[in-house]
Amino acid sequence: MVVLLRWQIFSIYGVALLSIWLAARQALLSQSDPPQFAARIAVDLAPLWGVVLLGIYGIGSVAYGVIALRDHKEVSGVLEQEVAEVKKELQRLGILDAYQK
Amino acid sequence: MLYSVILPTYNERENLPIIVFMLDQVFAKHNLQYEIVIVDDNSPDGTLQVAQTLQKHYGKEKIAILSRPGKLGLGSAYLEGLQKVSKGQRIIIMDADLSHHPKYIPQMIRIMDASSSNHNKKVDIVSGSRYLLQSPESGVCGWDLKRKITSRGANVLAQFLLNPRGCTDLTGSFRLYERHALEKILPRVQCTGYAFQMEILVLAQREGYCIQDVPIVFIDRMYGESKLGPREIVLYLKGLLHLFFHT
Repeated sequence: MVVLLRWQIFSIYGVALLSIWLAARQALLSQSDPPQFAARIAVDLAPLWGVVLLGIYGIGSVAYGVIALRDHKEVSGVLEQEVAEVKKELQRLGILDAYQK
Repeated sequence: MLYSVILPTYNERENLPIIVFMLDQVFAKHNLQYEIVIVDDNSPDGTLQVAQTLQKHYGKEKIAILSRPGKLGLGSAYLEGLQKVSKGQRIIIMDADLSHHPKYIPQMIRIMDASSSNHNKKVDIVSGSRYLLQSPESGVCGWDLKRKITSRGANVLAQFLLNPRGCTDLTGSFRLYERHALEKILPRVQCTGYAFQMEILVLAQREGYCIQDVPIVFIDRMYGESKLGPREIVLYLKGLLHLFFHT
């Protein structure tokens, strides 16, 4: 089984989308009646709309990720308490004293 | 089953005895055999002396020390710790600065053990994830908004370009590995910086290893100090591009 690299997969998608876009433009231009302005804008600028949609999706994903990322503020205090207890124990065992001399 | 915890250290004089104590407690509580491999890169603050004191107390079977002449990089620290010193059948990689709490280790082991009887879904790597957004046990502590945006942005970009199925935290560095998986992948890793951890997971997936996430809370104790400057960002993007074109 052939394993494709990531850039190869993106290239295949890119070629496929480019082909669809060119075919759509060709179909629009080969109509007997002149195409409407809105249709021309939609088809001719389809790659731009694609990039814009991708950008919106990306920004939305980051925004969602930041909002949903849990901030466990209380953990810091708990850890510092645990560290203090561990230090006491290390002192009791003589470990802290051994290298602080 | 012996567990090797590889701890690269640089200026961890204060944190090292604490993390070693906590690790010892966790492994003892769950009756697990372990060794801690401390890889010190000639820390100027005397971390090596601290490691030697810990070795005297816990014994050479539990604390192994690899002292290196200078800062030679995280990747080589892991590799040398793995190949030259560690004896465990399973390897734990984590930070020595207490940003990773040892309490998550038993859960990582449980996941790996539970999968052992299922040959179709044997888990080779358990990765601690800060980004399991559906889990209340996952997250961070000590990050400001700028850090969160940078980190999530990097993650979204990596997910889009690399599509690492099932891995939510590509740049995390708290993981449990089956030794054979890490031995196969680690020598091939070329990226440095944050992309280093990402490359390990991506290469592991491409090799067919099974990776499972477990929720963790990452505690950033470097209050006010930024570990994410322009240099780290550029290195990350270069690493991402390298992986995009080579994996």
